[in-house]
Amino acid sequence: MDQTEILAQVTALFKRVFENEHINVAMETTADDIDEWDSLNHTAMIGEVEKHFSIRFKLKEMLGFKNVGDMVRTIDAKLQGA
Amino acid sequence: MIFNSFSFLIFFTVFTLIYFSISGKMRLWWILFASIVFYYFFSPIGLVILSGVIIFNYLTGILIAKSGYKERMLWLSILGNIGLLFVYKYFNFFNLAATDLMQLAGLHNPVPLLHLIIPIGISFYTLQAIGYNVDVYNELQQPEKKFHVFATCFLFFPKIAQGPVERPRNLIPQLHEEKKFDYLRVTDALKLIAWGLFKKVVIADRLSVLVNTVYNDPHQYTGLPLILAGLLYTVQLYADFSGYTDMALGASEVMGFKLMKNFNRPFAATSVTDFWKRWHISFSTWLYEYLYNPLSLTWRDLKKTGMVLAIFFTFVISGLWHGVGWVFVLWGVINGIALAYELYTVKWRKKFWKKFSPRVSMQVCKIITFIFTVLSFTFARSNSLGDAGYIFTHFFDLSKSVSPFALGLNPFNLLIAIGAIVLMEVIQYYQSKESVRAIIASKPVRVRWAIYCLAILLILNLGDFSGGSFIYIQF
Amino acid sequence: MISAEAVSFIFNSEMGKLLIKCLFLCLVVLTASIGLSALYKRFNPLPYSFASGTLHFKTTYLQTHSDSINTLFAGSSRVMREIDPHLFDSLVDSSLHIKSFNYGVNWLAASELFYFIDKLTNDSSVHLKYIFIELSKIKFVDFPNLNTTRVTHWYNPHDYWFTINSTLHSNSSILVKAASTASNSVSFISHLLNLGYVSTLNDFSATKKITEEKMKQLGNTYDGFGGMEGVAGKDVMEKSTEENVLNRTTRFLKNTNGLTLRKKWSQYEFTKFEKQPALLDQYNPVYLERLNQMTDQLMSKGIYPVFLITPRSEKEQYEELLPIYAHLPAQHKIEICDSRKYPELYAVENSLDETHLNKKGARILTKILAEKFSQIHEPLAK
Repeated sequence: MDQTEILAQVTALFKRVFENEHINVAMETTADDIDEWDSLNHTAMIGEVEKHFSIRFKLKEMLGFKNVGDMVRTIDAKLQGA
Repeated sequence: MIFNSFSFLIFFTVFTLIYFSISGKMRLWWILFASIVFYYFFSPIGLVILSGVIIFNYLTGILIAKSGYKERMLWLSILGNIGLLFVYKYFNFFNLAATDLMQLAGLHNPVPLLHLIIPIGISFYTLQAIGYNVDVYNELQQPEKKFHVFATCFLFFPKIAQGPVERPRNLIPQLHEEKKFDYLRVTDALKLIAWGLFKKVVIADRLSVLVNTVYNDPHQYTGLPLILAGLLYTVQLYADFSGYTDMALGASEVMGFKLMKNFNRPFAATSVTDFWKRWHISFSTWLYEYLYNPLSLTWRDLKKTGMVLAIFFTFVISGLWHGVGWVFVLWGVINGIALAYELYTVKWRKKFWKKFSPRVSMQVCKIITFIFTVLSFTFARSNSLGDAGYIFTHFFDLSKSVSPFALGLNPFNLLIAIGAIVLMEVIQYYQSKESVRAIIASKPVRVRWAIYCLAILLILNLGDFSGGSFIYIQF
Repeated sequence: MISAEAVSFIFNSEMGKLLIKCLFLCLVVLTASIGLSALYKRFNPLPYSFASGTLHFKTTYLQTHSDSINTLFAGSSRVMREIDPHLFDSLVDSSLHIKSFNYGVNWLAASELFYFIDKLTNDSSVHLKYIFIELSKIKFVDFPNLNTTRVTHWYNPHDYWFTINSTLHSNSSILVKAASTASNSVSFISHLLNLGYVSTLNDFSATKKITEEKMKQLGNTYDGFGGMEGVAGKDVMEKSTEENVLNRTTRFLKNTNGLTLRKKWSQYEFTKFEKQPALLDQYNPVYLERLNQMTDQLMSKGIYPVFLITPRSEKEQYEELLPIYAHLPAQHKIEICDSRKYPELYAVENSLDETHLNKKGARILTKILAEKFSQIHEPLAK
């Protein structure tokens, strides 16, 4: 699975968690860009991502996410490593 | 040296004149020197403690980035900062609690109470230090190697006493830039300082007379005075704190620095969750970033329960940070309950309010949130749990009729207070649409000068600069 | 001299322009403030004694009992705690018909005291024959008290100028002179700008206004002697309760070295001036001039002033005040602070604390005062 594919799957997850069909997600997207992406939804979203990809983030990794791209790259690295 | 004093006026004038007269490279050193002088006026011993904190965090920051024990160094830095705060601020509180518990079991607590004076700003600078170390650990920031830059970031006099809880990752890069004199920026900043001063001395300090009268002995009152004091305390706290912040932001802006925004019309919040995004923002985002978020992520498998636990933990800490005592713990718990309620009912509430027009629902939500805010601050302001209990059970008791004019503010002064509050709200409403400073700037010169003069005269004549009391007690 | 470069910098740089504008704005605000203050005076909502509870209380009592009270002891807490008017009245010649009142108020020292003497003696509802005035060195207020009402209320240009000028001519160190000039100027400017005027008005009406009821409670025998505990009502400055006073005594008795030192200072200074009388000519001319003027003014109104230096002062106080005192006319002064002559005024058992006498000490001092008053007054009567 390459990063584009991961991003596509993440986007689908976002749409479900944030309950909004019209969300556009790019690598540069940050929490500020999406109204529904607040502190509470963030945790739920991370949980969904982990479940979907069957991975487990470290706390340091999660706190270091500055945008969607950071998360996608981390997912990629984890899937490669697995 | 508090901002609303003549000494600060003189200090800041001299500081600024020299600041812009010396070469750009010297300015940083000048800020450092002035900040040391400023803090020295508060407490020479506090300066020693703060110097220790600065050296400690300077080293941990570098070690976290460089050494092979990143995580251990991070925990060392966090424990070091919290430990210091604990000893100065919380030791006696927990020690007394332990004494009470042991007494229940018939034991004697052998640990004596500490008699320490809390260094000014310790609650603020320890948080900033923790944030700095965590940021370095998470690689959001490089450790600062230049010691004088690092020290200036912590000592920076506009924010040392009462925040904002600035992130070193925001301030340090600004300290590396060279600052220039910019006429528009400086005059805008001066207006912000005047605005903050107005809120502080005309509104907050005036209201404090009434608020103190009632809260110092609430059992004398029932009904209206209790409601009035609760309401006005909320406004006082806002005017005081946001006024102070505006002066801090304004002073920094004169020098060419942009500090974090701390308030965003909190009384326009439509939910408690929303309120905490608008009130003391630098602190609430700190809590979010360094406490709530790591906790809720760690407990993410517990789903909503994990979040609720994280919320409660965060708000109890927040309560204790604001003040030491059980009323503050309870205040935190109350806010935690409100946030947890809002978390669980997001969908339900959305559906419910859809039945009404958005304008109506928005206003109703604002009013409900404001009432909650007033009630929760009433808790925090009470001197004891007993007082809080009394106040909450006597809001609608009319047995003791005390005139609202007999609470320390005569009718004239109460009228001024109300007028000033209305003025504050109107200006802030306009500010939320477009910059009030820009509106003033667009007026002809005569009108501008008239506004400045009137504003200064209002502050001078209507402000409360001393509380009227002379501090000497024995002579 | 300002160089041409500096001038061009001020007028041409943006910062210089802002500076000039700010100065101009200050000027406009100052003018407006003076206008406002004239308006305030015109409508006169505050009595001259508004600044502290005790001051206002004692002044009001004086005004309402003007038909009986004709003698004042005016000064600081030393006067308040150390001179007993009832005892004094009983000791002096009854043909003088003296009915005295203690106008001692915490921290009421030179400058502010002189301001009040001007006010009281120009007050048509106060009728005085004698006034005892405590002399003290002009002090400056420290940081925490700057801008408090008590510090800013009395600064008219005349008294401000006296304060500054007198400080500059005093024996203080250059640092103290600078600090004093700065702090007094800040207070003067605060006064000019009506700083916090409306709040002060509120503070007065909320905490210091005296009801007739309160006045009645005191009756006609109140003489102002002793602390104002429980009398003046709510005023932070006078919070000292009886308990507080007791604590002070307990603390003092644990270590009385301070008093020993004060005794030594008095002894040392008096001996020094006796041995080298030429030193007495190095007096503060501004201060002496003010006292002489005051004496003339009071005498022209039929009021007889007597100047005192209270015991237990600091070393510099004696250094500054004794030469001035030496140049005052003999019939207008009473000396009660020489520890060689009055060791009992420096005795531990007569002390409330390091700087004040207790009631027993006050009786001794009052007796000395009454005796000496008769001495200076008798030749005068003849």
